[in-house]
Amino acid sequence: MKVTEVNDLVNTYGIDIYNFCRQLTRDKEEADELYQGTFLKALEICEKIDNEKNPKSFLLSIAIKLWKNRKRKYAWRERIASMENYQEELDYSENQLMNTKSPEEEVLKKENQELIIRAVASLKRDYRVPMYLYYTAEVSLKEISHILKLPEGTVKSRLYKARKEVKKYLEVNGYGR
Amino acid sequence: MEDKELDILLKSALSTNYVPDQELNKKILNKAKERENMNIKRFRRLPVVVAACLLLICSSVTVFATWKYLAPKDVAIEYGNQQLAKAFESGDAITMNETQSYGEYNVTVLGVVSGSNLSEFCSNEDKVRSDRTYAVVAISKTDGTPMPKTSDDEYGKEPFFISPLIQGLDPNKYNIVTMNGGYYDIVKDGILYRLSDCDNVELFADREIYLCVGNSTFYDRNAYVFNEETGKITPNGNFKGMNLLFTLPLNAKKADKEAAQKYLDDIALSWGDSAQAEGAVEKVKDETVAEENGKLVELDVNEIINKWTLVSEQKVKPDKDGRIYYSYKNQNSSMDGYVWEDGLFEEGEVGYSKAYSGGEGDNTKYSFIYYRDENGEITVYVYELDK
Repeated sequence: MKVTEVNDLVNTYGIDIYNFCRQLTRDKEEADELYQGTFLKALEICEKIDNEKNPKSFLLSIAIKLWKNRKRKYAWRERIASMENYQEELDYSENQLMNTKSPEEEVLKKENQELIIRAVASLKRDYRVPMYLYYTAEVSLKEISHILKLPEGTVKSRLYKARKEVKKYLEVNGYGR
Repeated sequence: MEDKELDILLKSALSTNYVPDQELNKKILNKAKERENMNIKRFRRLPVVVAACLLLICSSVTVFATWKYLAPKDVAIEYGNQQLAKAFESGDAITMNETQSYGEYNVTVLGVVSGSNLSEFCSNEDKVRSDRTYAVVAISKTDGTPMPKTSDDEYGKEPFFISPLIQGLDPNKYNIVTMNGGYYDIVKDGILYRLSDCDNVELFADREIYLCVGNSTFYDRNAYVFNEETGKITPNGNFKGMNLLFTLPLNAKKADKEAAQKYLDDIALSWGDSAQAEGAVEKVKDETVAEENGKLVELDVNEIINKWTLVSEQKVKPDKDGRIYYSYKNQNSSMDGYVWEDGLFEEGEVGYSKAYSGGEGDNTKYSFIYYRDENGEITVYVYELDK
């Protein structure tokens, strides 16, 4: 792959891939490594990515494979990093306070968003990954089924079950109260 | 909370706006530049390699295959696993380079190795399974045209199912899918290389160990014959499809009967959970119990038929792998998935299946009941009950 092609890929899809990596890993440092690893792996295994054939899905599938294989290494770090992530999410959310209504409303909105993020992060992997692909990377059901090599029906079923579990989590944890 | 409201909340919460650091992107581009320079150097060396190999062309297919294909260690390197690459070069690895053909494909088993801690595979239950068997297979077209790359739309349209099988164990139940397996495909110079791995089959090395290669997504029970007396597995001569079978020459001294039995006991315990997760239904024999939302409940199909409300019925056809797809939607919820025909009915069984699928929406419970008639046609009935 030529440098110009790589540059185009990074410019076009870098942000989507990076956001997906951030959601998947819940840790900036891991996400940086995964993001870099994804593009480097794409460099190694692909002589030329045809831009008409969905390079985004290709990159996302590489990210997922790399993440699955690395997961064990980082499992112990996740426990330590979880409090740091929470703080990071707070910092991020504060940057979003652009269209403030009232301070109370914004605090509530922030807390509810964090609850939702935690709800999804608590799902098992089979449900979590399709959720991030659908909501963070904004990939269609058909593409998710290609990326995960699953029937479309199974993807729909997992998203359905994931949403159901998120709803339950939110209810139990007092969402909106 | 309505589904639509949840959908909006999820979109809002999960659509983050992180931006990768400039330094990160610079590193990627620098690496791309390095590779661009390296590729030029490699090309200059290539004619020397080609010249040396031309001298070998007159000899056997095996030697030709060795030159034509990547070595298993190279495939492991492409996968990014140096440890596995070393294992493929070690004395424990078995180099095979055996080719069989079917239709427009040549299939070559390049090599096999087993061992612990060669990769970091996590099962669907997020458990690390470190004791694995790895096999590398190359698939190419007999006419020399290239296999579709993994980024092509055509990739995957012709699926390949590659799995170890074990003498004495029903291959429909014990194969790469049920033995915590996975695979990684790359396409290099028009040849598809699959690195497959699953739980370590060396435990069973005192039996015949096979590697099957078929052109289906999952194991096709019609492709092979399992002799229940001898435990031997052979290709079904009447099967219309790819059903290649290789025998893996594992070292019988590496067998471990005790560990093998423990493995079989453990795997039998774990199957109930995974079957539930994929929407499959636990097969019921004589007891009228089944699993619903992870709990065993008394099943009475007649009670459902008499007391719940029939809301839909649909004739369905199992796909070539024996899966029956179902789906249901009402104004509040939707559900779909698939179940296995042989999980619902015994061979030749007619009537209502004793097993069923179930689920819950916000306000209703629903059940999928399956009926097979004398012609083998299956009808899926959906019943609802208000909570």
